[in-house]
Amino acid sequence: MNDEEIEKLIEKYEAGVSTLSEEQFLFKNTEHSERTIAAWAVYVKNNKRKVPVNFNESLWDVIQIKKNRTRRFTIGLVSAAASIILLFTIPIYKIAYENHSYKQKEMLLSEAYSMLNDAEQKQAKQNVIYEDELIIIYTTSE
Amino acid sequence: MNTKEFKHKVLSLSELIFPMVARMLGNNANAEDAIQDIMIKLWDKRKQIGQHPNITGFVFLTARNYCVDMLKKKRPELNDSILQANVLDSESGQEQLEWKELNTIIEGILKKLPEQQREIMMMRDIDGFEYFEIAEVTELKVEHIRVLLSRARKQVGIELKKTYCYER
Repeated sequence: MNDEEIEKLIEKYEAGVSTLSEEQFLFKNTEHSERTIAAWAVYVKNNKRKVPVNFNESLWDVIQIKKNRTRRFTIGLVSAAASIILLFTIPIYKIAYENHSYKQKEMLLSEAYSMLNDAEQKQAKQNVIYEDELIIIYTTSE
Repeated sequence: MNTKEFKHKVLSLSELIFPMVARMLGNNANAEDAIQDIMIKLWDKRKQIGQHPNITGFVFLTARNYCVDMLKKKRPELNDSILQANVLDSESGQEQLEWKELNTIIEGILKKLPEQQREIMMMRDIDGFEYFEIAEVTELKVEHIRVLLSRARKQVGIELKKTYCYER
């Protein structure tokens, strides 16, 4: 770029109509410019702030940590609420059960007993191949 | 606004606002903390932000207002080691002295400028903002910004010329 073109660029710069790339070019090539532009270019160069490397990524990591912390807190809060509800439900259920008549209780017990009987019958049909503390392997006729 | 949109539309602006925040707070470390704080606040309000007609402008303005609030509470720390490193990197002792002198002269000239003109000139030349970005931060029209910038640049040029005339 010759002196005339630099002159035009300085005019554009001073009129506030130059683009960012033109301004960058002007600040980098101050050897043909006026001393005032050169001085300002040095000031601009030394006051430019460099963005830290991977700045966006590190910020995102911080947000993720906050997000996870909030999620964990919500889960904890819901669990605590569920536990409290459960604790209150058991006595209510107990009171309701105690309020049953003798006949109702007998019916419930016989129903439970019949279920147990079914299970025993089913177990009787099972042919156990292998059994230890953790697993049972068996075959059935079903 | 979902996570992906937030990352794309809001978080991606962090690197753009960094120079302005660092300049206003006078320190890179403070700027990193401030932007982290700003982004967390914006993340918490992401549902409301999603409906905003100008998200970029909103983020720029939020960052600027945050800095103004910080400055009201505390003066900026100007002894920034990173900024000094910019100078120490490549220059000899004599050049460093010259630069310090030049810096003092220009700071003095900038202080004499009307606040709005000074702020616009710094945003354009130091922070590297586009005109529309300056418009969003200052809430002025682009044409008005060009006028103010032109006045500021011419004034700085005149003052610098005067300084060099006295030197001669």
